[in-house]
Amino acid sequence: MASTLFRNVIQAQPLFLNSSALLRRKNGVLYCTMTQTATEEKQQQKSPQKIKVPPQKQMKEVSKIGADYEAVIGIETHVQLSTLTKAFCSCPYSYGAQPNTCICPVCMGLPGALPVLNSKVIECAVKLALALNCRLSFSSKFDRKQYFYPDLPKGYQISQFDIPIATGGSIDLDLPLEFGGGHRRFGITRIHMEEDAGKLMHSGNGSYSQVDLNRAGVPLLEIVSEPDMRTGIEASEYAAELQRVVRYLGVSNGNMQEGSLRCDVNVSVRPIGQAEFGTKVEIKNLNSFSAINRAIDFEISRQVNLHSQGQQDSIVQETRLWEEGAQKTVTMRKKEGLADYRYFPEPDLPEVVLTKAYMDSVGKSLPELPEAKRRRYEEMGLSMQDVLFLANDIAVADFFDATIQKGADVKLAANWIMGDIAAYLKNEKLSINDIKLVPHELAELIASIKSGTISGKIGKEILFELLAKGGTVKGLIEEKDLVQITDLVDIEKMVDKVIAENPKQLEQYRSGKTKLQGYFAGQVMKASKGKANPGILNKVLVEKLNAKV
Amino acid sequence: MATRGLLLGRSFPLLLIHSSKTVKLTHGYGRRSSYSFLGESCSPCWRQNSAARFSAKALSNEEAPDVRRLAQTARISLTEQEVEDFGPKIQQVIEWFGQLQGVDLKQVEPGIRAATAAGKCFFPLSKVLDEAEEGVNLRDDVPVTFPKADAIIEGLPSYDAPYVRVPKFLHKED
Repeated sequence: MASTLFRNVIQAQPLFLNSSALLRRKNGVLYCTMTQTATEEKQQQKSPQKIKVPPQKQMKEVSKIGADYEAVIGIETHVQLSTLTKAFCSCPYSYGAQPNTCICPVCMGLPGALPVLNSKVIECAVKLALALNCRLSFSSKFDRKQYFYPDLPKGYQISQFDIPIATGGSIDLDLPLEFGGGHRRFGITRIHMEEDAGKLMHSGNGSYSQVDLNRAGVPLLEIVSEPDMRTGIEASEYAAELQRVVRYLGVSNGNMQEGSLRCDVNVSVRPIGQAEFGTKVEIKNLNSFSAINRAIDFEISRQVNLHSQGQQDSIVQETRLWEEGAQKTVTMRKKEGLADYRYFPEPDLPEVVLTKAYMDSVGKSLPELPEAKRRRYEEMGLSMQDVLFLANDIAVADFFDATIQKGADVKLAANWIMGDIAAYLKNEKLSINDIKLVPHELAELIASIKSGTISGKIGKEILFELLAKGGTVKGLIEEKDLVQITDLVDIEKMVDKVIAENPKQLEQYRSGKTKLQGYFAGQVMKASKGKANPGILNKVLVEKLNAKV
Repeated sequence: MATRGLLLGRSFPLLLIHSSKTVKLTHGYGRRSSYSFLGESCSPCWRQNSAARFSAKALSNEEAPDVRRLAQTARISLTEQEVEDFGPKIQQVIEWFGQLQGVDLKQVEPGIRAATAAGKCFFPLSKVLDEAEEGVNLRDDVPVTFPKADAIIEGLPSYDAPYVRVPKFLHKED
């Protein structure tokens, strides 16, 4: 992906140079505008076709281009908490509710209304801070961040400025195998609590805009990372791991599509070896993890390209938008002075004081986190691929753990969950909590197959039944008489019968069509209703088919 | 975190100044608070431009308040005459507060914000709290629908059901 974009940018380069030269000479302005447009059109036409480039090729190209440069990436993430009420008032919040119905004087910023903090917000903040190994502030405060905007009823946002609730943590993750794998640890600078603004929508005909204030006042946690990421994939995996953690903790549903997880990315490049950071550029409008990946790779190559052309001064500190359609970043606004938010401590809210006892009690209530699970699964002997799959969703991991606890073989349990069960969930669009199969029945199933009571094929059929309707393995085996036939004599009898009933096929087999063994096996299976043990059956078949002369 | 003391920045709210010759000073919130005005946007510490803290320099006579900028950030329109008049009045207010700079704070623990008995909220293990003793200001996560949402909607100056209608804004301007 980056390579194709890079090529497009390179093609544009000579034209840019020419047009700037022309501008300097103060002629041919019309000419350069037109050619630029033509180039942009060409880019737009080309880009949509080339979105799917194999990841390995992508990585190789990026490293080829950026061999002399290092990208420095930091991410600011806003996580919308899934509390029942808003941060500072008791309005219930639900995504998708009729606009402007979840409102009250407090979140609407009406005169005289005062904020009262929701205790659940603090609990969520402490949970997340502990999960990310942060240092919790025993004492923190709220501040007013003041600016005017139609979706901000009070004219200020209640946030935390200089004394956030948590600082200095880290997050561990494993890169997916298709991107080279590997373990990474990225630093977290701070976590703080704040409230969300409403939703501003621009109408089609352009003369006015519309505001929905349902979301105003919903609690957010802002997580600021250290600038530790170096590539697009590291950044998108960081975001994915944050999503995993907040889902594990139950503090948020972490849906980027719904807006409960929002990421703003800051990218800069510098020549390798240089200590100071280059000029950083902020990228907004990233709606998925893959968008994060692609946008960063594009921006890195854009900046590296400018550097290598000697035009690093044209990289200004600005905000750029990621355009999903065109697969590129564009300038959002020309002027970007530092905003003056006139922060001061929120006088209507008291200090937030945490006691050690409280922190400890919250710490005890934390579930096993993704990183700990991955390490534990690795130690159990599972492959990295299995580990990443199983630890991705806490419900799946819990199901797996419960199955193991009943004594099931680790590898077999993993295979069943990742294979047939996952396929079923995908087809029926269910989550693992919705299926009728319970972990101890899965353990029973695995044990039955291992002991030879039923064959693997029968096992799969039973599984399907269990997933859809529930029930017990033992019950189904009895009810449908599925016990595997392993008695040698019984199988020999069935084989004899089938051979006797099919003299023509026997002739054909004897004359060389040995593939017909499959036919005979199928016939025996049919007669035995699938219960014949395949191994023994085939052994007997081979004997008998080849025996009589 | 250095001793915060009482530092006043330039962007002192214009709320208090309306009329006339004497500047009437009212405490907006009924209690003395220590404000620290940090003029510029901060968040990530690794950003190149870190927060600027206004020092006592701002209180000196050399730096008259930039009234035009103050009015712009507060979205208050002033006539030319008012711009001229308000400068010295604002300066007077700042100097009045500036007397606090004379207090020796070397032996004092920096306060995060105004600490009064009612101003702290603690988080003991038990949910039952002695409110009289601790002055807790927390709320349980229990939804309560505001009964008069219609009245709020009716009070909106411009309503385009079900949205609030506003002039078109593209960017967050300060």
